[in-house]
Amino acid sequence: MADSADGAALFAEHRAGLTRYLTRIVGQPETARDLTQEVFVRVTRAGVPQDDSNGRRAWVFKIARNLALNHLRDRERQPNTTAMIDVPHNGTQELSAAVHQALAALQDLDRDVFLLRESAGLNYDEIATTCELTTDAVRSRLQRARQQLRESLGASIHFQLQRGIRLTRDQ
Amino acid sequence: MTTHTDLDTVAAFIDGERIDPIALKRALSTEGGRDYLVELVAMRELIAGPAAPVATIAASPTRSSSWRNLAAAAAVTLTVGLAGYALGHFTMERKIAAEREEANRAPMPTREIPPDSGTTWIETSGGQH
Repeated sequence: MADSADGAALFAEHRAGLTRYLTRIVGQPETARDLTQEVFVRVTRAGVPQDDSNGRRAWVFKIARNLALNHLRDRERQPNTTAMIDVPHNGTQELSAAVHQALAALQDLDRDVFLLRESAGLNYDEIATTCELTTDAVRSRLQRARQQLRESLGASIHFQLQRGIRLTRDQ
Repeated sequence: MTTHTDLDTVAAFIDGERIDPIALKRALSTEGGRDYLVELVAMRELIAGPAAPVATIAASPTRSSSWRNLAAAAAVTLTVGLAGYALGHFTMERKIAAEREEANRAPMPTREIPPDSGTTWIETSGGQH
């Protein structure tokens, strides 16, 4: 185990990806920021495992994933609250609401695997470590999630294609 | 004809995984493979966009919470009532005691009468001269 300085450095390296991933998972930027801070606390306190960079990244995202799942579980238990998507006011919000709904319709683990790839930028091996799956299972779940999203987001994808596309650099 | 493997190869290529270039060429030689490549890139841009905020609203209070609130209100009222009664009782007791003490005390003299000069005082033991 390394010291907390290593943990802080590791956190800083992945902070942006963590925030993106957590925002997509919990749906609320403020909550995602709180959870990101909690990840920082855990990472600096626990001590970074002596592993290669992929193993360390998987470890950080495993912490984030567990925190997010606990948060979602707690939110579901609250009887007085109901989650709802804000009413979209313009095209961008409509698009993001459509994405949110399409993601929400995925199986939990499929969505997790997909977001770890697309929002967090983890590779297949890292996702496998984070979610405790085999790499083949990751491929399979990714494929299924993408097929489902392709169908549910057909109109949005078409809209995006009309605007033009750009292959973004991997996070 | 685009196969499942072709789509998997295209996806792995987009994801930055190491793939067989021959397999990629084959996958992209089909219209389905090319469509998939383009759509995955579009989908990635969509996902990278801002996340829709999820608002959490309070639903109407449930029966159990109403009962809890009622019980809490009753407890507060009872506590305040008992405290008021105790305070009033204590204050009244002190007031009565003070009045009783005042009633038993001898009145203060209103004027002082000096003894006559030349008077001889004879000490006796109770009613005898």
